[in-house]
Amino acid sequence: MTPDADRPAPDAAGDPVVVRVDRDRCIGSGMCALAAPGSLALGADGLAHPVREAAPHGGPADERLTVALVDAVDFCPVEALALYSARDGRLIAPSV
Amino acid sequence: MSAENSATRVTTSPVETHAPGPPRPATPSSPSSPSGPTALPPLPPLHCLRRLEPGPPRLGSLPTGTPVWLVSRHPDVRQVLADPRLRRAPLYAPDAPPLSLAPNLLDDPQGILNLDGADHQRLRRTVQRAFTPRAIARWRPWVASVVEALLDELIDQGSPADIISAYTRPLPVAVISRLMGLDGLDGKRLAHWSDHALSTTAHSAPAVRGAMDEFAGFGAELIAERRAAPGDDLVSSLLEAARDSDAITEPQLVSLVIGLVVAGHETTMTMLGNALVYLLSDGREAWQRLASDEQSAAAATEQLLRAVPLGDGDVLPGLFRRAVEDVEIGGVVIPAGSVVAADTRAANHDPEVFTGDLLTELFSPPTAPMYTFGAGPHHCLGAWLARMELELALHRLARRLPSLRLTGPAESIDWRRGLLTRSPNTLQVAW
Repeated sequence: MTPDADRPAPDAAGDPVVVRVDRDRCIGSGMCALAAPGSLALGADGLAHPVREAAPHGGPADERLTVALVDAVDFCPVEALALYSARDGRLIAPSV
Repeated sequence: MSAENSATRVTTSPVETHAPGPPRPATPSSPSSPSGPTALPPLPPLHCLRRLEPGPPRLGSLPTGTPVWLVSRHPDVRQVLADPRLRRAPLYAPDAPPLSLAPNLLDDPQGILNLDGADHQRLRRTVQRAFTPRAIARWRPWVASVVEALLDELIDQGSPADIISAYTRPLPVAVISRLMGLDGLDGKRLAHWSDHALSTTAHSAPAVRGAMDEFAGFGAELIAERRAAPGDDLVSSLLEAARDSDAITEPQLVSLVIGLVVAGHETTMTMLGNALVYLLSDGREAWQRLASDEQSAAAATEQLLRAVPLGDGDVLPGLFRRAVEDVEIGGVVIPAGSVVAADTRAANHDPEVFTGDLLTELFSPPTAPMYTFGAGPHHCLGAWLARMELELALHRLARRLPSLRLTGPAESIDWRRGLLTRSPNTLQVAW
């Protein structure tokens, strides 16, 4: 048995995820909106927000893991973005 | 280190509408000129400069005669820096009015500062990963060891000493040299290129052009060398990241590499020198607390970055953009084609969002975002590295030398003149 046996399987493209924007940190660089235009956009206030709002009953938005989304989070100049697994809440990006 | 915006974040007092400002040198002299401090009129330390009172956008003019919209209120400055209708590349389009009497490195249309949208992002992505807060934090122990080694040497050398040549210059030079793998680069050549890269009046236009051509030659050689033998450095990693993109041009890469070299040390050196001028004169009471812990030093760094500008801003009245369509800013319609200057220095002191001054607020968290590093797509790439270097440098200097003081009055400081940035040429200290 390897030490990794108990770890969850690595996330795969298409897995449900939640993207969070720390709007106090966001400086509106727009890097995320250019990298993952389907998932993140700049609002009228110049700050980033997820394109898909949370479901009406309060559940997570239907956001799926893509390479572009991980890139968008990894490349934020101020680390205002974080990507979590919608299954178990683990941090997927930014990568440590 | 500040690859983007760093140098252009120099703010300004506008030429026509500004409050009584500091005296300007009658005869601009080269930063390396032999003329001593007595040959030129004294200049006030940067923390004493007057600022434009924030107000609605108003029309002023640049030294070239080009009309410029001066934007000074905190929310308006933010809008200018983040609004995609206000761009950099059109500042250098064929129909663009002249911005500078002697174009320097920042006026290179191929530079990362002067690209917009996808062109800009494509180039920035080649280096962004190395400059995120997490990536920079990994360098902290190493930077701290450089700081301690410089302090050991300074203390061995004995009091009095010139803190610029012993500390504020070698620290950022060592850091950017390590990051970019520039060991063996001649410090005199580097200083020569840096002085010309940010020159406003210090050097003639042909002299700046000549130095920048030579600097670009150095950048091209460095790129060729790292392509042939990649190493564990920023130049190698950005080339690797750019390899598969046909859209990134060779001149863009050369401009990026030499821009990183200059921005990587010049602005941090300037900020550290000017912060010390303040802390060892008007702000001397804070020295003991600065020594107490890194958190205090981090808070002070943030306030110093907000309140002490990098330069006089007499040539560059803020961060330039050009409107590609009519844009309303702060209730004023700026017509398409206009040059707009976001005066980050005025915004950093906007009384609507910031209260108090360095004497009362040095260790308090800022009450609003400050725009020293800009905002929007061109937010300074090196912001986190610059912060880390400044925090460590100030904290450890105060800890090792609690009795540090200036040997002469701040009024008689020998300044580097005629550049976008202004910092002491030398600063004699004793302990």
